[in-house]
Amino acid sequence: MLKAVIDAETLRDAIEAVSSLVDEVKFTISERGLELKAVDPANVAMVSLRIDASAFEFYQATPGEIGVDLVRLSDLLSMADRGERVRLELLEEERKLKIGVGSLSYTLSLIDPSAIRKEPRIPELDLPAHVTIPGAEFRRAIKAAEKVSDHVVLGVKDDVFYMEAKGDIDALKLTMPSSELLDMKPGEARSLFSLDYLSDMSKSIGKAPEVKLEIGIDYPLRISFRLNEVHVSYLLAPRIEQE
Amino acid sequence: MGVDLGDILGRKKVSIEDLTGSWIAVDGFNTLYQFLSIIRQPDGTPLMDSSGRITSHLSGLLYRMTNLLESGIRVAFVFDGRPPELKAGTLAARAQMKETAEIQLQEAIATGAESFRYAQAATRINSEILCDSIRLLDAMGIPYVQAPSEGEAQAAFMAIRGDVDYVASQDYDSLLFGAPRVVRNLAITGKRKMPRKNVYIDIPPEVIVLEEELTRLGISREQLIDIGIMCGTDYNEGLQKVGPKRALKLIREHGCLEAVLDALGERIDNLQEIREIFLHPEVTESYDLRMKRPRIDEIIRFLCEERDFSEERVRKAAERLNASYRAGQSTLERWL
Repeated sequence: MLKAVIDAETLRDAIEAVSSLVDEVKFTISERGLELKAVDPANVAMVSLRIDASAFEFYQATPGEIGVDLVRLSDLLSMADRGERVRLELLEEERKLKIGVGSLSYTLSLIDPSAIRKEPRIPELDLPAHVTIPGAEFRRAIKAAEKVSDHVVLGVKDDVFYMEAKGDIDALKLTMPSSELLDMKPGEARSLFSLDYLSDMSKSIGKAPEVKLEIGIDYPLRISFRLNEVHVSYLLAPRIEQE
Repeated sequence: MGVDLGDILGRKKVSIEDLTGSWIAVDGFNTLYQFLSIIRQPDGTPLMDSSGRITSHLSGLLYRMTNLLESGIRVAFVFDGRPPELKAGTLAARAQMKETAEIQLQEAIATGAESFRYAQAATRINSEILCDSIRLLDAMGIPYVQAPSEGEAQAAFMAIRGDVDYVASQDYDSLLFGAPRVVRNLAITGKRKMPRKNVYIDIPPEVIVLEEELTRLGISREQLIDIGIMCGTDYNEGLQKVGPKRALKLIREHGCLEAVLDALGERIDNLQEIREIFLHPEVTESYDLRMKRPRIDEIIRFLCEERDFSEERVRKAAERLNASYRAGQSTLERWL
Protein backbone atom coordinates (compact mmCIF):
# COMPACT_ATOMS: atom_id res chain seq x y z
CA MET A 1 0.00 0.00 0.00
CA LEU A 2 1.18 3.48 -0.78
CA LYS A 3 -0.55 6.80 -0.45
CA ALA A 4 1.61 9.88 -0.51
CA VAL A 5 1.75 13.57 -1.32
CA ILE A 6 5.01 15.26 -2.26
CA ASP A 7 6.25 18.51 -3.70
CA ALA A 8 6.60 18.11 -7.48
CA GLU A 9 10.09 19.60 -7.58
CA THR A 10 11.36 17.26 -4.86
CA LEU A 11 10.07 14.20 -6.68
CA ARG A 12 11.35 15.45 -10.04
CA ASP A 13 14.82 16.04 -8.62
CA ALA A 14 14.84 12.57 -7.10
CA ILE A 15 13.77 10.89 -10.34
CA GLU A 16 16.22 12.92 -12.40
CA ALA A 17 19.11 11.75 -10.22
CA VAL A 18 18.31 8.19 -11.29
CA SER A 19 16.92 8.52 -14.80
CA SER A 20 20.26 9.79 -16.12
CA LEU A 21 21.57 6.25 -15.57
CA VAL A 22 18.68 3.83 -15.91
CA ASP A 23 15.28 3.75 -17.55
CA GLU A 24 13.50 1.18 -15.39
CA VAL A 25 13.78 0.74 -11.66
CA LYS A 26 12.33 -1.21 -8.79
CA PHE A 27 11.26 0.94 -5.85
CA THR A 28 11.16 -0.64 -2.43
CA ILE A 29 8.34 0.80 -0.37
CA SER A 30 8.54 0.83 3.40
CA GLU A 31 7.57 2.91 6.37
CA ARG A 32 10.93 4.63 6.02
CA GLY A 33 10.12 5.93 2.58
CA LEU A 34 10.91 4.95 -1.02
CA GLU A 35 14.26 3.41 -1.88
CA LEU A 36 15.98 2.03 -4.90
CA LYS A 37 19.31 0.70 -6.07
CA ALA A 38 20.14 0.39 -9.72
CA VAL A 39 23.10 -0.11 -11.99
CA ASP A 40 23.42 1.26 -15.51
CA PRO A 41 23.26 -1.24 -18.42
CA ALA A 42 27.02 -1.08 -18.92
CA ASN A 43 27.79 -1.85 -15.26
CA VAL A 44 29.83 1.31 -14.96
CA ALA A 45 27.70 3.32 -12.56
CA MET A 46 25.39 2.55 -9.68
CA VAL A 47 22.88 4.74 -7.96
CA SER A 48 21.11 4.40 -4.65
CA LEU A 49 18.28 6.71 -3.82
CA ARG A 50 16.23 7.14 -0.69
CA ILE A 51 13.28 9.48 -0.40
CA ASP A 52 12.67 9.68 3.33
CA ALA A 53 9.09 9.52 4.54
CA SER A 54 9.76 12.97 5.98
CA ALA A 55 10.29 14.32 2.44
CA PHE A 56 6.58 13.76 1.84
CA GLU A 57 3.83 16.03 3.07
CA PHE A 58 1.78 12.93 3.60
CA TYR A 59 3.09 9.39 3.61
CA GLN A 60 1.34 6.16 4.41
CA ALA A 61 2.78 2.87 3.28
CA THR A 62 3.07 -0.82 3.89
CA PRO A 63 6.13 -2.70 2.59
CA GLY A 64 6.13 -3.67 -1.06
CA GLU A 65 7.85 -3.31 -4.41
CA ILE A 66 6.90 -1.56 -7.63
CA GLY A 67 8.56 -1.48 -11.05
CA VAL A 68 8.52 1.95 -12.70
CA ASP A 69 9.39 3.19 -16.17
CA LEU A 70 11.25 6.38 -15.26
CA VAL A 71 11.03 7.83 -18.75
CA ARG A 72 7.24 7.83 -18.56
CA LEU A 73 7.19 8.96 -14.97
CA SER A 74 9.42 11.97 -15.61
CA ASP A 75 7.34 12.78 -18.64
CA LEU A 76 4.24 12.94 -16.45
CA LEU A 77 6.01 14.89 -13.73
CA SER A 78 7.15 17.49 -16.23
CA MET A 79 3.50 18.59 -16.42
CA ALA A 80 3.49 19.72 -12.80
CA ASP A 81 4.38 23.32 -12.12
CA ARG A 82 6.97 24.33 -9.60
CA GLY A 83 5.37 24.44 -6.17
CA GLU A 84 2.56 22.07 -7.10
CA ARG A 85 1.90 18.88 -5.17
CA VAL A 86 1.93 15.41 -6.63
CA ARG A 87 -0.40 12.79 -5.19
CA LEU A 88 0.68 9.18 -5.48
CA GLU A 89 -1.56 6.21 -4.92
CA LEU A 90 -0.71 2.61 -5.63
CA LEU A 91 -3.57 0.67 -7.22
CA GLU A 92 -2.33 -2.76 -6.27
CA GLU A 93 -4.97 -4.86 -8.02
CA GLU A 94 -4.56 -3.06 -11.32
CA ARG A 95 -0.79 -2.80 -10.96
CA LYS A 96 -0.94 0.89 -11.65
CA LEU A 97 0.30 4.01 -9.95
CA LYS A 98 -2.24 6.82 -9.79
CA ILE A 99 -0.52 10.17 -10.08
CA GLY A 100 -2.51 13.31 -9.40
CA VAL A 101 -1.36 16.82 -10.18
CA GLY A 102 -3.88 19.60 -9.46
CA SER A 103 -7.15 18.45 -10.99
CA LEU A 104 -5.39 16.06 -13.39
CA SER A 105 -5.01 12.42 -12.63
CA TYR A 106 -2.98 9.86 -14.56
CA THR A 107 -2.61 6.17 -14.14
CA LEU A 108 0.85 4.89 -14.88
CA SER A 109 1.10 1.19 -15.69
CA LEU A 110 3.71 -0.46 -13.55
CA ILE A 111 6.31 -2.94 -14.71
CA ASP A 112 6.54 -6.39 -13.19
CA PRO A 113 9.40 -5.96 -10.69
CA SER A 114 10.76 -9.39 -11.62
CA ALA A 115 11.27 -8.16 -15.20
CA ILE A 116 13.63 -5.43 -14.03
CA ARG A 117 17.32 -6.03 -13.79
CA LYS A 118 18.28 -7.37 -10.40
CA GLU A 119 19.35 -4.84 -7.82
CA PRO A 120 23.10 -4.62 -7.63
CA ARG A 121 25.04 -5.45 -4.54
CA ILE A 122 26.79 -2.33 -3.34
CA PRO A 123 30.48 -3.14 -3.07
CA GLU A 124 32.26 -2.43 0.18
CA LEU A 125 35.02 -0.04 -0.66
CA ASP A 126 37.74 1.39 1.44
CA LEU A 127 38.32 4.79 -0.08
CA PRO A 128 41.38 6.52 1.38
CA ALA A 129 40.45 10.17 0.82
CA HIS A 130 37.32 12.24 0.74
CA VAL A 131 36.39 15.85 0.18
CA THR A 132 33.16 17.79 0.51
CA ILE A 133 32.53 20.72 -1.81
CA PRO A 134 29.48 22.74 -2.90
CA GLY A 135 27.47 20.84 -5.54
CA ALA A 136 27.45 23.86 -7.84
CA GLU A 137 31.24 24.03 -7.71
CA PHE A 138 31.51 20.39 -8.76
CA ARG A 139 29.06 20.89 -11.61
CA ARG A 140 31.01 23.90 -12.85
CA ALA A 141 34.30 21.98 -12.80
CA ILE A 142 32.71 19.11 -14.76
CA LYS A 143 31.33 21.52 -17.35
CA ALA A 144 34.74 23.14 -17.72
CA ALA A 145 36.47 19.77 -18.04
CA GLU A 146 34.04 18.76 -20.78
CA LYS A 147 35.28 21.59 -22.89
CA VAL A 148 38.74 20.05 -23.15
CA SER A 149 38.36 16.29 -22.83
CA ASP A 150 36.06 13.34 -22.39
CA HIS A 151 37.64 12.18 -19.16
CA VAL A 152 38.83 13.76 -15.94
CA VAL A 153 41.14 12.89 -13.08
CA LEU A 154 39.92 13.39 -9.54
CA GLY A 155 42.63 13.30 -6.92
CA VAL A 156 43.79 14.31 -3.51
CA LYS A 157 47.41 15.08 -2.77
CA ASP A 158 48.24 15.91 0.82
CA ASP A 159 45.43 18.27 1.73
CA VAL A 160 44.70 19.55 -1.75
CA PHE A 161 41.81 18.31 -3.88
CA TYR A 162 42.27 18.57 -7.64
CA MET A 163 40.47 17.82 -10.88
CA GLU A 164 42.41 17.60 -14.09
CA ALA A 165 41.29 17.22 -17.71
CA LYS A 166 43.72 16.99 -20.58
CA GLY A 167 42.62 17.19 -24.19
CA ASP A 168 44.69 16.99 -27.34
CA ILE A 169 45.30 20.70 -27.22
CA ASP A 170 43.98 22.22 -24.02
CA ALA A 171 44.22 21.25 -20.40
CA LEU A 172 42.17 22.25 -17.40
CA LYS A 173 43.07 22.04 -13.76
CA LEU A 174 41.06 22.87 -10.69
CA THR A 175 42.76 22.85 -7.30
CA MET A 176 41.12 23.43 -3.95
CA PRO A 177 43.23 23.42 -0.79
CA SER A 178 41.58 22.19 2.40
CA SER A 179 40.79 25.76 3.45
CA GLU A 180 38.38 26.03 0.53
CA LEU A 181 36.76 22.67 1.15
CA LEU A 182 33.71 22.16 3.35
CA ASP A 183 35.27 19.02 4.75
CA MET A 184 38.04 16.59 3.91
CA LYS A 185 39.97 13.52 4.87
CA PRO A 186 43.45 13.93 3.43
CA GLY A 187 45.14 11.01 1.73
CA GLU A 188 46.70 9.89 -1.52
CA ALA A 189 44.11 9.37 -4.22
CA ARG A 190 43.93 9.65 -7.95
CA SER A 191 41.49 8.04 -10.38
CA LEU A 192 40.32 8.75 -13.91
CA PHE A 193 36.62 8.92 -14.86
CA SER A 194 34.50 9.27 -17.97
CA LEU A 195 33.03 12.72 -18.20
CA ASP A 196 29.82 11.61 -19.84
CA TYR A 197 28.77 9.77 -16.70
CA LEU A 198 29.92 12.59 -14.45
CA SER A 199 28.19 15.09 -16.67
CA ASP A 200 24.86 13.25 -16.40
CA MET A 201 25.27 12.97 -12.65
CA SER A 202 26.38 16.55 -12.18
CA LYS A 203 22.97 17.91 -13.21
CA SER A 204 21.56 16.60 -9.96
CA ILE A 205 24.71 17.19 -7.95
CA GLY A 206 24.67 20.85 -8.98
CA LYS A 207 21.45 21.34 -7.00
CA ALA A 208 22.90 20.00 -3.76
CA PRO A 209 24.39 22.43 -1.21
CA GLU A 210 27.20 19.98 -0.65
CA VAL A 211 28.56 16.84 -2.23
CA LYS A 212 30.95 14.34 -0.71
CA LEU A 213 33.47 12.74 -3.05
CA GLU A 214 35.28 9.62 -1.88
CA ILE A 215 38.31 8.80 -3.98
CA GLY A 216 40.89 6.03 -4.20
CA ILE A 217 43.77 5.09 -6.46
CA ASP A 218 42.38 3.69 -9.72
CA TYR A 219 39.30 2.93 -7.71
CA PRO A 220 35.59 3.66 -8.03
CA LEU A 221 34.37 7.08 -6.96
CA ARG A 222 31.58 7.43 -4.46
CA ILE A 223 29.53 10.59 -4.70
CA SER A 224 26.97 11.28 -1.98
CA PHE A 225 24.67 14.22 -1.58
CA ARG A 226 21.30 15.26 -0.26
CA LEU A 227 18.57 17.17 -1.97
CA ASN A 228 16.53 18.07 1.12
CA GLU A 229 15.17 14.75 2.36
CA VAL A 230 16.28 12.85 -0.73
CA HIS A 231 19.54 10.95 -0.32
CA VAL A 232 21.50 10.08 -3.44
CA SER A 233 24.67 8.09 -3.75
CA TYR A 234 26.51 7.19 -6.93
CA LEU A 235 29.32 4.77 -7.46
CA LEU A 236 31.30 5.18 -10.67
CA ALA A 237 33.90 2.73 -11.95
CA PRO A 238 37.18 4.36 -13.04
CA ARG A 239 38.77 4.34 -16.44
CA ILE A 240 42.10 2.65 -16.46
CA GLU A 241 44.78 5.06 -17.63
CA GLN A 242 46.54 3.92 -20.76
CA GLU A 243 49.76 5.16 -22.31
CA MET B 1 26.30 12.84 -58.16
CA GLY B 2 28.78 15.56 -57.46
CA VAL B 3 31.88 16.13 -59.49
CA ASP B 4 33.58 13.09 -60.97
CA LEU B 5 37.28 13.75 -60.77
CA GLY B 6 38.25 10.12 -60.23
CA ASP B 7 40.19 10.02 -63.50
CA ILE B 8 42.79 12.57 -62.51
CA LEU B 9 43.10 12.10 -58.77
CA GLY B 10 45.46 9.60 -57.23
CA ARG B 11 44.01 7.37 -54.56
CA LYS B 12 45.92 5.40 -51.99
CA LYS B 13 44.47 2.13 -50.86
CA VAL B 14 44.52 1.89 -47.09
CA SER B 15 43.32 -0.62 -44.57
CA ILE B 16 40.86 0.14 -41.81
CA GLU B 17 43.70 -0.37 -39.34
CA ASP B 18 45.58 2.53 -40.96
CA LEU B 19 42.72 4.77 -39.88
CA THR B 20 42.71 3.64 -36.24
CA GLY B 21 42.70 6.55 -33.86
CA SER B 22 41.43 9.06 -36.40
CA TRP B 23 38.32 11.16 -36.37
CA ILE B 24 36.21 11.01 -39.51
CA ALA B 25 33.38 13.31 -40.56
CA VAL B 26 30.98 11.17 -42.53
CA ASP B 27 28.85 12.68 -45.27
CA GLY B 28 25.50 11.55 -43.85
CA PHE B 29 23.25 11.56 -46.89
CA ASN B 30 25.94 10.04 -49.06
CA THR B 31 26.42 7.21 -46.58
CA LEU B 32 22.72 6.56 -46.02
CA TYR B 33 22.26 6.50 -49.76
CA GLN B 34 24.98 3.89 -50.06
CA PHE B 35 23.43 1.75 -47.36
CA LEU B 36 20.02 2.02 -48.97
CA SER B 37 21.29 1.09 -52.38
CA ILE B 38 23.73 -1.66 -51.40
CA ILE B 39 22.11 -3.40 -48.44
CA ARG B 40 19.37 -5.18 -50.33
CA GLN B 41 17.98 -8.60 -50.93
CA PRO B 42 19.07 -10.33 -54.16
CA ASP B 43 15.95 -9.18 -56.05
CA GLY B 44 16.67 -5.58 -55.18
CA THR B 45 14.11 -5.23 -52.40
CA PRO B 46 15.50 -3.26 -49.49
CA LEU B 47 15.40 -4.75 -45.99
CA MET B 48 12.05 -4.03 -44.40
CA ASP B 49 10.22 -4.56 -41.13
CA SER B 50 6.87 -6.35 -40.87
CA SER B 51 4.95 -3.20 -41.68
CA GLY B 52 6.95 -2.48 -44.81
CA ARG B 53 9.22 0.22 -43.46
CA ILE B 54 12.69 0.24 -45.00
CA THR B 55 15.47 -0.73 -42.60
CA SER B 56 18.55 -1.12 -44.85
CA HIS B 57 20.04 2.13 -43.57
CA LEU B 58 19.53 1.11 -39.93
CA SER B 59 21.25 -2.18 -40.54
CA GLY B 60 24.14 -0.34 -42.20
CA LEU B 61 24.42 2.19 -39.42
CA LEU B 62 24.41 -0.35 -36.63
CA TYR B 63 26.66 -3.04 -38.05
CA ARG B 64 29.06 -1.08 -40.23
CA MET B 65 29.53 1.83 -37.89
CA THR B 66 30.06 -0.58 -35.01
CA ASN B 67 32.82 -2.24 -37.05
CA LEU B 68 34.50 1.11 -37.60
CA LEU B 69 34.21 2.18 -33.97
CA GLU B 70 35.52 -1.18 -32.89
CA SER B 71 38.59 -0.53 -35.04
CA GLY B 72 39.23 2.59 -33.01
CA ILE B 73 37.86 5.03 -35.58
CA ARG B 74 35.72 7.87 -34.28
CA VAL B 75 32.95 9.08 -36.56
CA ALA B 76 30.66 12.08 -36.70
CA PHE B 77 27.80 12.29 -39.20
CA VAL B 78 27.15 15.49 -41.08
CA PHE B 79 23.76 16.05 -42.70
CA ASP B 80 22.84 18.48 -45.45
CA GLY B 81 20.82 21.55 -44.62
CA ARG B 82 19.17 23.87 -47.11
CA PRO B 83 20.77 23.39 -50.55
CA PRO B 84 22.22 26.42 -52.37
CA GLU B 85 19.75 27.82 -54.89
CA LEU B 86 21.99 26.86 -57.79
CA LYS B 87 21.46 23.21 -56.90
CA ALA B 88 17.77 23.28 -57.85
CA GLY B 89 18.45 22.00 -61.37
CA THR B 90 20.44 19.01 -60.13
CA LEU B 91 17.86 18.17 -57.52
CA ALA B 92 15.02 18.25 -60.05
CA ALA B 93 16.97 16.06 -62.47
CA ARG B 94 17.73 13.59 -59.66
CA ALA B 95 14.07 13.39 -58.69
CA GLN B 96 13.13 12.75 -62.33
CA MET B 97 15.75 10.00 -62.61
CA LYS B 98 14.46 8.30 -59.50
CA GLU B 99 10.89 8.38 -60.74
CA THR B 100 11.92 6.74 -64.00
CA ALA B 101 13.91 4.12 -62.09
CA GLU B 102 10.94 3.44 -59.84
CA ILE B 103 8.73 2.71 -62.86
CA GLN B 104 11.40 0.47 -64.38
CA LEU B 105 11.77 -1.27 -61.05
CA GLN B 106 8.07 -2.06 -60.82
CA GLU B 107 8.14 -3.39 -64.39
CA ALA B 108 11.21 -5.49 -63.70
CA ILE B 109 9.65 -6.97 -60.58
CA ALA B 110 6.42 -7.71 -62.45
CA THR B 111 8.22 -9.46 -65.29
CA GLY B 112 10.81 -11.12 -63.06
CA ALA B 113 13.69 -9.36 -64.85
CA GLU B 114 16.91 -8.30 -63.15
CA SER B 115 15.79 -5.48 -60.90
CA PHE B 116 18.73 -4.72 -58.63
CA ARG B 117 20.08 -1.78 -60.57
CA TYR B 118 16.68 -0.10 -60.90
CA ALA B 119 16.15 -0.58 -57.21
CA GLN B 120 19.44 1.14 -56.53
CA ALA B 121 18.68 3.99 -58.86
CA ALA B 122 15.26 4.48 -57.28
CA THR B 123 16.70 4.88 -53.80
CA ARG B 124 15.45 7.95 -52.03
CA ILE B 125 16.03 9.35 -48.60
CA ASN B 126 12.77 10.59 -47.12
CA SER B 127 12.20 12.24 -43.79
CA GLU B 128 11.30 8.97 -42.07
CA ILE B 129 14.59 7.41 -43.15
CA LEU B 130 16.43 10.47 -41.93
CA CYS B 131 14.60 10.63 -38.59
CA ASP B 132 15.15 6.92 -37.97
CA SER B 133 18.83 7.31 -38.78
CA ILE B 134 19.26 10.20 -36.39
CA ARG B 135 17.40 8.34 -33.69
CA LEU B 136 19.70 5.35 -34.09
CA LEU B 137 22.88 7.47 -34.23
CA ASP B 138 21.74 9.16 -31.06
CA ALA B 139 21.18 5.85 -29.28
CA MET B 140 24.55 4.62 -30.52
CA GLY B 141 26.18 7.73 -29.08
CA ILE B 142 27.53 8.82 -32.46
CA PRO B 143 27.63 12.60 -32.83
CA TYR B 144 25.92 14.25 -35.78
CA VAL B 145 26.04 17.76 -37.13
CA GLN B 146 23.28 19.52 -38.99
CA ALA B 147 24.99 21.60 -41.68
CA PRO B 148 23.43 24.96 -42.48
CA SER B 149 23.81 24.15 -46.18
CA GLU B 150 25.93 21.50 -47.92
CA GLY B 151 27.00 18.66 -45.63
CA GLU B 152 30.25 18.11 -47.52
CA ALA B 153 31.17 21.76 -47.06
CA GLN B 154 30.56 21.49 -43.34
CA ALA B 155 32.58 18.29 -43.11
CA ALA B 156 35.43 19.87 -45.06
CA PHE B 157 35.33 22.91 -42.76
CA MET B 158 35.64 20.67 -39.70
CA ALA B 159 38.60 18.92 -41.32
CA ILE B 160 40.30 22.21 -42.24
CA ARG B 161 39.96 23.32 -38.61
CA GLY B 162 41.59 20.09 -37.51
CA ASP B 163 38.57 18.85 -35.55
CA VAL B 164 38.44 15.75 -37.73
CA ASP B 165 41.20 14.00 -39.67
CA TYR B 166 39.20 12.85 -42.69
CA VAL B 167 36.01 13.49 -44.57
CA ALA B 168 34.32 10.30 -45.69
CA SER B 169 32.34 10.57 -48.91
CA GLN B 170 32.14 8.82 -52.24
CA ASP B 171 31.95 12.20 -53.99
CA TYR B 172 34.93 14.33 -54.84
CA ASP B 173 33.17 17.57 -53.92
CA SER B 174 34.71 17.48 -50.44
CA LEU B 175 38.10 18.17 -52.05
CA LEU B 176 36.73 21.19 -53.86
CA PHE B 177 35.40 22.36 -50.50
CA GLY B 178 38.99 22.09 -49.27
CA ALA B 179 38.93 18.88 -47.22
CA PRO B 180 42.63 18.07 -46.69
CA ARG B 181 42.03 14.31 -46.68
CA VAL B 182 39.11 12.41 -48.08
CA VAL B 183 38.47 8.74 -47.51
CA ARG B 184 36.25 6.80 -49.91
CA ASN B 185 34.62 3.38 -49.51
CA LEU B 186 34.69 3.75 -45.75
CA ALA B 187 31.16 2.77 -44.90
CA ILE B 188 30.95 0.04 -47.51
CA THR B 189 34.33 -1.57 -47.05
CA GLY B 190 34.37 -5.26 -47.73
CA LYS B 191 32.57 -7.17 -50.40
CA ARG B 192 30.40 -5.39 -52.88
CA LYS B 193 28.23 -6.81 -55.61
CA MET B 194 29.23 -5.68 -59.07
CA PRO B 195 26.39 -3.99 -60.92
CA ARG B 196 24.53 -6.30 -63.29
CA LYS B 197 26.76 -9.23 -62.42
CA ASN B 198 26.54 -11.83 -59.75
CA VAL B 199 30.12 -11.10 -58.78
CA TYR B 200 31.38 -9.75 -55.49
CA ILE B 201 34.62 -7.81 -55.27
CA ASP B 202 36.66 -6.54 -52.37
CA ILE B 203 36.52 -2.80 -51.89
CA PRO B 204 39.24 -1.42 -49.64
CA PRO B 205 39.01 2.15 -48.40
CA GLU B 206 41.09 4.68 -50.30
CA VAL B 207 42.47 8.03 -49.27
CA ILE B 208 42.98 11.16 -51.35
CA VAL B 209 45.30 13.79 -49.90
CA LEU B 210 44.39 17.16 -51.38
CA GLU B 211 47.77 18.85 -50.99
CA GLU B 212 49.65 15.91 -52.52
CA GLU B 213 47.31 15.75 -55.48
CA LEU B 214 47.53 19.48 -56.12
CA THR B 215 51.33 19.28 -56.04
CA ARG B 216 51.39 16.25 -58.31
CA LEU B 217 49.05 17.88 -60.81
CA GLY B 218 50.85 21.22 -60.48
CA ILE B 219 47.64 23.18 -59.87
CA SER B 220 46.06 25.23 -57.09
CA ARG B 221 42.84 24.43 -55.26
CA GLU B 222 41.17 27.28 -57.17
CA GLN B 223 42.23 25.59 -60.40
CA LEU B 224 40.90 22.24 -59.17
CA ILE B 225 37.58 23.96 -58.51
CA ASP B 226 37.67 25.36 -62.07
CA ILE B 227 38.30 21.84 -63.38
CA GLY B 228 35.33 20.61 -61.38
CA ILE B 229 33.13 23.37 -62.76
CA MET B 230 34.19 22.53 -66.33
CA CYS B 231 33.24 18.90 -65.81
CA GLY B 232 30.00 19.80 -64.11
CA THR B 233 29.07 20.12 -60.44
CA ASP B 234 25.84 20.01 -58.50
CA TYR B 235 25.51 23.71 -59.38
CA ASN B 236 26.20 23.71 -63.12
CA GLU B 237 26.09 21.33 -66.04
CA GLY B 238 29.63 21.57 -67.26
CA LEU B 239 30.98 21.99 -70.75
CA GLN B 240 30.13 19.64 -73.60
CA LYS B 241 32.75 16.96 -74.22
CA VAL B 242 34.99 18.09 -71.39
CA GLY B 243 35.97 15.43 -68.89
CA PRO B 244 38.49 15.69 -66.06
CA LYS B 245 41.54 14.92 -68.23
CA ARG B 246 40.72 17.47 -70.88
CA ALA B 247 39.74 20.01 -68.23
CA LEU B 248 43.10 19.55 -66.51
CA LYS B 249 44.90 20.05 -69.81
CA LEU B 250 42.91 23.18 -70.56
CA ILE B 251 43.54 24.67 -67.13
CA ARG B 252 47.25 23.98 -67.38
CA GLU B 253 47.28 25.60 -70.80
CA HIS B 254 45.22 28.68 -69.96
CA GLY B 255 45.64 29.13 -66.20
CA CYS B 256 42.09 29.90 -65.26
CA LEU B 257 38.59 29.09 -66.30
CA GLU B 258 37.87 32.54 -67.80
CA ALA B 259 40.77 32.10 -70.22
CA VAL B 260 39.61 28.58 -71.08
CA LEU B 261 36.10 29.83 -71.79
CA ASP B 262 37.47 32.65 -73.98
CA ALA B 263 39.57 30.19 -75.94
CA LEU B 264 36.68 27.77 -76.43
CA GLY B 265 34.11 30.46 -77.01
CA GLU B 266 31.95 29.01 -74.26
CA ARG B 267 30.26 30.45 -71.21
CA ILE B 268 29.25 29.18 -67.77
CA ASP B 269 26.43 30.95 -65.97
CA ASN B 270 26.93 32.06 -62.37
CA LEU B 271 30.63 31.17 -62.48
CA GLN B 272 31.64 33.44 -59.59
CA GLU B 273 28.76 32.28 -57.49
CA ILE B 274 29.66 28.62 -58.00
CA ARG B 275 33.26 29.29 -57.07
CA GLU B 276 32.07 31.08 -53.97
CA ILE B 277 30.04 28.05 -52.90
CA PHE B 278 33.22 25.98 -52.92
CA LEU B 279 35.58 28.61 -51.53
CA HIS B 280 33.37 30.21 -48.91
CA PRO B 281 30.49 27.86 -48.21
CA GLU B 282 27.90 28.45 -45.53
CA VAL B 283 29.10 26.50 -42.49
CA THR B 284 28.64 26.55 -38.74
CA GLU B 285 31.19 26.61 -35.96
CA SER B 286 28.76 25.30 -33.39
CA TYR B 287 29.00 21.56 -33.29
CA ASP B 288 29.81 19.01 -30.65
CA LEU B 289 31.79 16.00 -31.80
CA ARG B 290 31.94 14.09 -28.55
CA MET B 291 30.93 10.45 -28.60
CA LYS B 292 28.28 9.63 -26.08
CA ARG B 293 27.67 6.48 -24.16
CA PRO B 294 25.76 4.00 -26.33
CA ARG B 295 22.30 3.32 -24.92
CA ILE B 296 21.97 -0.42 -25.40
CA ASP B 297 18.39 -0.60 -24.15
CA GLU B 298 17.27 2.13 -26.52
CA ILE B 299 19.02 0.50 -29.50
CA ILE B 300 17.26 -2.78 -28.75
CA ARG B 301 13.92 -1.15 -28.07
CA PHE B 302 14.04 0.74 -31.35
CA LEU B 303 15.48 -1.90 -33.67
CA CYS B 304 14.01 -5.07 -32.19
CA GLU B 305 10.68 -3.95 -30.80
CA GLU B 306 9.85 -1.34 -33.41
CA ARG B 307 11.69 -2.50 -36.52
CA ASP B 308 11.75 -6.29 -36.13
CA PHE B 309 15.52 -6.80 -36.04
CA SER B 310 16.83 -9.99 -34.48
CA GLU B 311 17.47 -9.24 -30.84
CA GLU B 312 20.37 -11.64 -30.62
CA ARG B 313 22.30 -9.95 -33.42
CA VAL B 314 21.47 -6.42 -32.34
CA ARG B 315 22.43 -7.12 -28.75
CA LYS B 316 25.76 -8.51 -29.87
CA ALA B 317 26.49 -5.44 -32.00
CA ALA B 318 25.34 -3.10 -29.23
CA GLU B 319 27.61 -4.81 -26.76
CA ARG B 320 30.55 -4.58 -29.15
CA LEU B 321 29.75 -0.91 -29.61
CA ASN B 322 29.65 -0.43 -25.89
CA ALA B 323 32.92 -2.27 -25.37
CA SER B 324 34.66 -0.09 -27.95
CA TYR B 325 33.24 3.04 -26.37
CA ARG B 326 34.39 1.94 -22.97
CA ALA B 327 37.92 1.08 -24.04
CA GLY B 328 39.76 1.74 -20.79
CA GLN B 329 36.55 2.02 -18.80
CA SER B 330 36.32 -0.59 -16.09
CA THR B 331 33.05 -1.96 -14.77
CA LEU B 332 31.94 -2.16 -11.17
CA GLU B 333 31.95 -5.96 -11.30
CA ARG B 334 35.64 -5.83 -10.51
CA TRP B 335 34.90 -4.46 -7.06
CA LEU B 336 31.99 -6.71 -6.14
